This record gives sequence, C-alpha cells and structure tokens, in this order.
Amino acid sequence: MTRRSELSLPAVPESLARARAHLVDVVGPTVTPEELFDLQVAVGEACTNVIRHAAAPVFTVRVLVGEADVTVEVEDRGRGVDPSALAVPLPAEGPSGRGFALMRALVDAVEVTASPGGTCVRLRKRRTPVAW
Amino acid sequence: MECEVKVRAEGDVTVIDVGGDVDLYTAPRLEEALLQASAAESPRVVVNLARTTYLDSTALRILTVAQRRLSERQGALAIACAPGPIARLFGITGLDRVLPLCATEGEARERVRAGPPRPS
Repeated sequence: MTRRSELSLPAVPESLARARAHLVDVVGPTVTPEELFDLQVAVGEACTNVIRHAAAPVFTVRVLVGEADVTVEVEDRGRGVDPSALAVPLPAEGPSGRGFALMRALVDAVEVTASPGGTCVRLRKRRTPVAW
Repeated sequence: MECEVKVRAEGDVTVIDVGGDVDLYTAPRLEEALLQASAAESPRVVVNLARTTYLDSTALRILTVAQRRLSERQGALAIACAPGPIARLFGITGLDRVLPLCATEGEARERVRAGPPRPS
C-alpha cells in the first residue's frame, strides 16, 4: 500500500508552513511523531534552499509513502545548485551548510540532482511500520 | 503552528519566549526581538524555546549572530531548551558547543547573570 501526493507552491517564505501542513496530512498518519518532525525539518530545509537561492517562481513537493520508507522530492526549475556547496564535510558556518547538515542527519538518504534546468532534492527516511 | 515571540524582563535579564514554528518566514520576529534586547548595556538575554514546535537553520543562524553581537557588547545569551527534538537540532549542527543550552529558563537566567568575565 502506498500513498502519493504532489503539491506545487509559490517559492515564497509563506509556503513553508503549507509544505509542513501537507506533510502532516499525507505522512502524519503513517509515521511516528519523531519521524514526522525529522521529515518536516529536512523537507523545510530543502524548500528554504529553493526559496532563498533557486530564483524559481514555484516549486513542487512530491511525497511517496511506501511500505518501509517515506520519500519526499523537492523540485524546482530554477538556476541549479553549485555541487561544491554539497561537499562533505560541510562547514559549520553558513546557513546552507547547516541546512544540508540537518537534512543528512534527519533522514536516511539525501540525493541532489542538479542541472541547468533546475534542482531536485530527494529525501528518504525509513519509517516505523504504523497501520493507517 | 503560528509563531509567537514575546519579550519580558526578569530583573536584569530579557527573556524572549518563542512559541510555535520558527522558519524563514517567521524568524524575522525573533531577529527583531534579539536586536532590541541587545541594545542595552551589557545585555543579558535568554531565548526560551520551551513552547517552540519547529525550528530551522534560519533561526539557528539568527541565534549565532545574536550570540556574537551580545558578546561584543559584554553581554550574554543562553538558550532554554529541554532535551527533545528541538534541542537535538543544536547538537546535529554542533551549535550546542557554541550556544549555552540550558534545560530550564531558571538555569538559563543564572547562566547569563554569571555572564562573561567582566573587566575589573
């Protein structure tokens, strides 16, 4: 059994609360409160990067709840991300560095696909099986 | 959850109560409160996160900037935040080594009252 959803949002700071609310609706019933919090922060960081850096008018949050994990994609058609910004280890200073550090620590896999046509950040987190 | 930032004076300590979600959109409220609180002479400031439900890297950056500004002014900043999901974000980013994190507001107030060593 899977759950899917897709939400397009304007790339403005006000959208962050809507992205979080969307996760509560779609993912909330399928994970523990701790897992939901971790996903909200990680997805929030990915969305914040789009809003601050991508220069895209809108972005898409795609959620897939599978048997064993939750995958969230945050995609924009903005100017792409500098791969050097993703180098490991990240500097402690700087908001972007901290954003990626949070994403990496709070979910099990972070995958960034960057091209001149935009960026997709895919976050995957294992979930404790919860009946829904 | 709607973000609410309230400022109160507890003796010589300014306490900033932060409730709800702090993100890129709402963080300027915290930033503004911290700016005003650091205008005093040797400002002692506690940011109380007991009622904070969400916090992101924007808020963490604002807190580190405030910490630097306060120490430049011979002031002090402490964060009141019990162990839990919010406190964990400070640990992940290593900021628990930079910002004094206290489990209770009382402890945080004591911490900033002790403050940095004052020049004699």
